[in-house]
Amino acid sequence: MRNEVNEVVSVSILNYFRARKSEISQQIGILLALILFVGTFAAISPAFRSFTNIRNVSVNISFVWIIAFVFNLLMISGGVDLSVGSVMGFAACTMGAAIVQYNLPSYIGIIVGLISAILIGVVNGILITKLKLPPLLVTLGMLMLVRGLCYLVTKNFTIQLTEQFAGKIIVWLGNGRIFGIPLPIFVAFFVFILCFVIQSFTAMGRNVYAMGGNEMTARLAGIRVDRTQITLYILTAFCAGISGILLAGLLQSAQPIIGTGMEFRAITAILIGGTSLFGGRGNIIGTVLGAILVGVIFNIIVIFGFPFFATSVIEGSIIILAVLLDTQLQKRFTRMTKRARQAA
Amino acid sequence: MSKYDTTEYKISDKSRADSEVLVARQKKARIFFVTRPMLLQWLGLIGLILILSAIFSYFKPSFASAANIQSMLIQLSISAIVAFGVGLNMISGGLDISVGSMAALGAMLPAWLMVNIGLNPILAIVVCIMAGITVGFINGILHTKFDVNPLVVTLGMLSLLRGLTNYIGKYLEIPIYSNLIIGLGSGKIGPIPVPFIIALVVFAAIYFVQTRTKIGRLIYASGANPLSSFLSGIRIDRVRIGTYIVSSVLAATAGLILAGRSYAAYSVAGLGWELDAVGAVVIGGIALSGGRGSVVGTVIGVVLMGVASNALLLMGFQFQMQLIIKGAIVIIAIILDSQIRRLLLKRV
Amino acid sequence: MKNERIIYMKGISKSFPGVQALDKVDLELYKGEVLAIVGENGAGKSTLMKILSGIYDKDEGQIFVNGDEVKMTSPLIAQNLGISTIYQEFNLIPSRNVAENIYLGRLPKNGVGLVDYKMLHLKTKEIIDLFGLHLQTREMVANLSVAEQQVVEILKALAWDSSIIVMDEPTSALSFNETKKLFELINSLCERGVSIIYVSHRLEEVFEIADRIVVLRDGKKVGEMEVKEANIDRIIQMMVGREINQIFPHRSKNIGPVVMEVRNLTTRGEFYDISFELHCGEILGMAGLVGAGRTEMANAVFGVNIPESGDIFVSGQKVNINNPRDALRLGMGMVPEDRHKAGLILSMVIRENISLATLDEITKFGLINRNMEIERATKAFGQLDIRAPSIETLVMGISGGNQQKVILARWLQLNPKILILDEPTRGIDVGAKSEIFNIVRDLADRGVAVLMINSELHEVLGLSDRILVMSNGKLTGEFSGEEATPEKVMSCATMLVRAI
Repeated sequence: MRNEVNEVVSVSILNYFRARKSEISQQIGILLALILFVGTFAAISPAFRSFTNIRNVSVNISFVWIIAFVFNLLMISGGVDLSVGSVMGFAACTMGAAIVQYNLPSYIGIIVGLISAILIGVVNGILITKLKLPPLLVTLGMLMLVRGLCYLVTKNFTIQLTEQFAGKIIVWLGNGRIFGIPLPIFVAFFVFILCFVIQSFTAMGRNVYAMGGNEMTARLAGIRVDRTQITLYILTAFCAGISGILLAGLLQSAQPIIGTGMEFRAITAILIGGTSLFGGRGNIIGTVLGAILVGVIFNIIVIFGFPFFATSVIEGSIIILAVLLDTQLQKRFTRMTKRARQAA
Repeated sequence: MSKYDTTEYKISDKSRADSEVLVARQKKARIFFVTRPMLLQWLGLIGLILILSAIFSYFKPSFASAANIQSMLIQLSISAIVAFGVGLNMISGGLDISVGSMAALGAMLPAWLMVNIGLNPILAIVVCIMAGITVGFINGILHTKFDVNPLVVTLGMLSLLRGLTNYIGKYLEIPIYSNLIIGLGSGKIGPIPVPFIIALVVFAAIYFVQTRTKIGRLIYASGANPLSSFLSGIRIDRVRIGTYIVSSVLAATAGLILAGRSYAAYSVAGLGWELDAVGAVVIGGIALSGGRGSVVGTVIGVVLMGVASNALLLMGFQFQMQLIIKGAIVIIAIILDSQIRRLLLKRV
Repeated sequence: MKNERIIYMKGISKSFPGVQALDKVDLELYKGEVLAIVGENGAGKSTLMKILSGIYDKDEGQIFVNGDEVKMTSPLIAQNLGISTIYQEFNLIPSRNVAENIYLGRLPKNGVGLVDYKMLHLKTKEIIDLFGLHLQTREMVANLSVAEQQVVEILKALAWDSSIIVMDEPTSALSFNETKKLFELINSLCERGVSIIYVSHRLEEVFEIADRIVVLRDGKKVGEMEVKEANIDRIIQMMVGREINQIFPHRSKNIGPVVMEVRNLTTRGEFYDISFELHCGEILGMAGLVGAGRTEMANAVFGVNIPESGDIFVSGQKVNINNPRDALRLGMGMVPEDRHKAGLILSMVIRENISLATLDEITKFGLINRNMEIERATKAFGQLDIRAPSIETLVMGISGGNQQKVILARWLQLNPKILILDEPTRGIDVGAKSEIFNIVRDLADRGVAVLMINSELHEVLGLSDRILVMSNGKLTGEFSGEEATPEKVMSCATMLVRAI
């Protein structure tokens, strides 16, 4: 009986949507929550809906976006990188040190910052794929190590990067506008396009999903799992570096605490957006929405004068809840495949 | 035509017998150290501590001064109390990196209550312990019943608790006026500081539990092979929740002791403690995956981490630099731990 | 009409520590045929196939593909030579759709280097239509039925231009209709020149679909013939007939009252409607093929998994067993299939492993009474004749047979009424096996009710007082120790019983 029904349904059009149902429904959910949230507070608070505020929030969100888009891909492939916040700071600090302490030209400073970020990504990638160490622990250790390096590089000072010290370009990076839109948002947009293309249109993107879904199967199909993962670790660190440099430009200074907590924000955005910690599931659109949600919550806290601690509490709770949900969903997923077996 | 030339080597009977004896002896030695895997590690670590201490005292005589040793002792006692809890939890198969924030909250909450509603200091201590029990329970439930990765659970908890602490303390500190609690941190019984006595008591209790009690055996079993334990009728979930509770309670207590010593509960207290604790525990021989190790090793690990921290401080390194070095040490310890275990398992 | 020979495996031998899995086996595969490989568990079927698909390395012998000798050093080499294997555990990515799974790792690209989705779905549709199937290319694999997933696996093999497909127990999860469809697919594959190696226990199916049949037993090839010249009985005889060198202890002298009754135990997907009685003093053997559902059923009785429906009675009372602790309290013990992962704590010593389930008995005020523990362990050590330096030896370092004895010793501390043994002699040398048999027999003689799951046919026959046979989750036969023969048991074990 069941099989006849299965056959009939197989042919129907409903199937097309059934195929993407789980992904789409989650994103629609977030979108609705977002509309609700933003709508309510926009109505209540003039400060919230002011143009300046919206612009500031967008800039803040784009710093998270720049990192989260590639981080999302990494997570889908089954990896994780907790050191992104520290890498952000590291890139900013090495750039600052290069320009102010070693008197190198600004653009060289930027290159130094980017290279430092890439280096950390390389180390992460090698430790995790070649030495097969657990990514959570390795990147956790890196988080602390690199943060310490930030202090080392700046000798615990805040490096001033105003125009007179660092040149126009640095300041422009953080504060400049193109067609009236702040540069960081532009960069985020480019990263989005890049990641969207990779995710949806390239073989590498499809392979990323495959690796996360079932690593053994992917390897047997000839997919270069190790190579792809190292690439993703390097790219994630690179984007963290970009984000850090832009932030330093915005603040016009390089401080060792830049990027603290960024990994939490990125992970929260990604998890809310529907990407699974276990890999194999997720979508960049979700990450876009997730980051907006997190950014908006943060902004609301500031505007309404809630004490700062609230961020840590909310972030901590969101992560725990999101992971809880994710674990349950994953169980249901494996049960789905098991039930398919039993249905015969 | 074979690419490889296989020549048969003729081994004389005597040398074969000799090699067999040698192999047997090596096997025995290996098994000796496998059954007491800790001994080798501990001896090496103690040696390392002595060497490092000697070097530091040479370069900075103040290292070996009575005042420095006294203050190191107290600091080590407090770190040890935290590490004991983390270690016990790790043996049972859990992982608790929320201890630093728990220590902060464990001091901040009672302090606030004492100052704002005049709570009796003894009740304040009870509150501290209750907080530990609650947090530990939540950590334990999330890990065992909901199958959430303990690293993630306690990471989230770390953030949450720190936020709560900051909320209560408004990012500053709350002073402590109670003589009882100040006594906990700064008091002495005879020439011996109270924190040291407390650490000693906790050590003795855990050592006792670990070696002689049924619960100790259950803790090791649950960590070493949860499936076999489950099939033998052991309630591994309950055991693990229990160790999470112990870990949080000990962390909270350590935080309170520190507050007593500092005469105030600080919002920034406990930062980085999880690094010290995990590092000490892993260096001391407790495996990340559980089922192995002893509180004795943890003591040695704590001393090593403490001596290293103190030496770094005296040398003028800032807190942040210490983070680098300690972070590196912990990563190396983790790598070595897994590699050595892989090697041992292959041979035996 | 003789087709060309595309695979020739010559003189393949392979041994693992303690067992010779394959002994100079020859295998030939011709183009466009369906070759069935049958044999008991442990006969060497899957080892042979794993060597062919590059997962294992052979010790001896040669492999020729299309006349050329090849060194199968990795699965990718086999794949590139056109050999695909479809396992019972599907190798698919459940969160991706049909098309992406079929062309996994080989997605068609357009001029710019991006994935050409149009081409992908077109090619997928082509291949689906080619065989007259009905599948949506965009359907997520996790949503498909088992039969459909299997089809996706087959299509994946075809997309790799495989000319040889090895199928390992393909119909174990399929319904009657689905099996028919599968056979139709296989036939059309063969018409196109694909060759199939069909590994299965289901002899009736084999006779329906295969052209030739090869019988393996204890790592050797004992028979090879065209299906039209063979009959089922002859095949079963070849599968089981062997000289038995094992000496078994006597049958029971005294079978007591019913101590446990199981009624209509069911968990869909694992076992259906299992009912039986277990008497004191008897050894009840559960025979069957791997995957028949015996372990799952035993786990349900022991409280590891709660069955969907059915009742269990112990000593006449209905009981609810929700976890192993409940089972222990009722006087039950279980020696699991995998003694390393589920039976022993490898990092602990013999003494600790023995006392693991009875810690309460040697504990007073929370403290373990060391002397009592040592006393008990030493007694068990002697009783079961455990060969090890002392009770302080790490169980990691003793032999498999002795490890099994340690687990038995653990349960004996409980003075169990019921003992469940799951594959107690797996991976143990002959000498230790005899010892285990004697221990089990002795236990039964003292009144313990023993439920023994065993896939070694001659062991079940030699040891059991009564034999139950399970196949595909259902009970298909019951025999007394005297009347049972290998052929009778095997034919029940291979009987096709469809899950409803």
